[in-house]
Amino acid sequence: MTTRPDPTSELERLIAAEAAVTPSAATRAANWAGLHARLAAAPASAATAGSSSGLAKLLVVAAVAGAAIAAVALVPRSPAPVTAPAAAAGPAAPERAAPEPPVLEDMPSPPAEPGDGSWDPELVHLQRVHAALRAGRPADARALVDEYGERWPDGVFIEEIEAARVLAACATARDAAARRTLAAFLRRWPESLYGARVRRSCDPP
Amino acid sequence: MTEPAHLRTPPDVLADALRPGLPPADPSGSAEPTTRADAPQLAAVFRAHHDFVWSSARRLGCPPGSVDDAVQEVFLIAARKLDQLREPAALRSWLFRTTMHVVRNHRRGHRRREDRHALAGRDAPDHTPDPSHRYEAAAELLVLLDQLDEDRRAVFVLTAFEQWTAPEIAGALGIKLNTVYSRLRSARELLERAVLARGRRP
Repeated sequence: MTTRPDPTSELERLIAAEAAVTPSAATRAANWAGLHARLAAAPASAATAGSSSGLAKLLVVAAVAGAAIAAVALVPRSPAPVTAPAAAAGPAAPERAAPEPPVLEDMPSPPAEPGDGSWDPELVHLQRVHAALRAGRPADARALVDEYGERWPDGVFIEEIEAARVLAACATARDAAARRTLAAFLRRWPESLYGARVRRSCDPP
Repeated sequence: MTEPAHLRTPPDVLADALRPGLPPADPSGSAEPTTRADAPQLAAVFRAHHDFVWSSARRLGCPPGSVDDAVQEVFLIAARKLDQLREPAALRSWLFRTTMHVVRNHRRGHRRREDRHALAGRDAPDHTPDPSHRYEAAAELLVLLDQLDEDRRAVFVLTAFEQWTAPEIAGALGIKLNTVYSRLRSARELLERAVLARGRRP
């Protein structure tokens, strides 16, 4: 008799597989070239619509000036990410006429604002915690987590903050202390939406 | 949310990977001549967010042969709004919502083409073969995600793959926090049910 895996674990397995799929360098380059071609083909009226800088300027700059590259920390979800083959990109966009993008009547207006302003300061703080984690600064993240607890002892996002505490602990060292932090989180929120994620963060490398 | 430093791709590796066909980095840091000094630059936005947009388009259900078109359209739209996209967190949210809109249009077009082919008596699906389908488990997940509606799918994608928290998603999508939680729970329930239904391959 075969044992069926529980659906939660199986779903996590499939998620991990998809998370490991990333575009290849060739796909990135082909998409940049395609974007470049579309910008070049954009009519002058479109180039100035909504932006006094204009796409023509952008194009010139994209071609000759280049951008100061912010340190981009791509975070693969797996130590050995699967790279989608370049062929997945299909024919490079410059080979075709560059059409206008579809008209999107209900295109969102940037930037997004939080849905409920009452928790904005807490949300901003939570975003700082996550930014520190994404930047690979778990010590800063932990300090921010502690600060959150002091400023908002009954904070709305305490579950998210404590999940971040586990992530920071496990990013620092997957040791006994980190596992205790994980266990405390899971005891307090056994049904947490972040349960699978924090568990994964403390998995052995 | 993050990975240990040893798992991260060093920034210079990504920069090198992108270099062919891309404008070289300007060590002087001179800004593109956009109107606002603090407006982001297209090349920098593309470098920082290409993979996020590409993966999001794929996971939101963009037809396999249209993912790259969709990515280019998202950045083309972004190029027109650089002046308004200064705050990094808001930029990422905006890119995701724009990707949702672009993918929706591609899906509509794809369905129309499939309908025409069905009327013409063609039974072959109008799917450009996607070499990534060799990655079986990943492809299985994309099939399962098709069972979710757009709203649940968006919340699930941001949570499962981008590690956004519920409050961040609420802010990005302009929905209430409780809506995020309920959509996420029901998405997981639907997906787990679908996993059970499809059985387990040996």
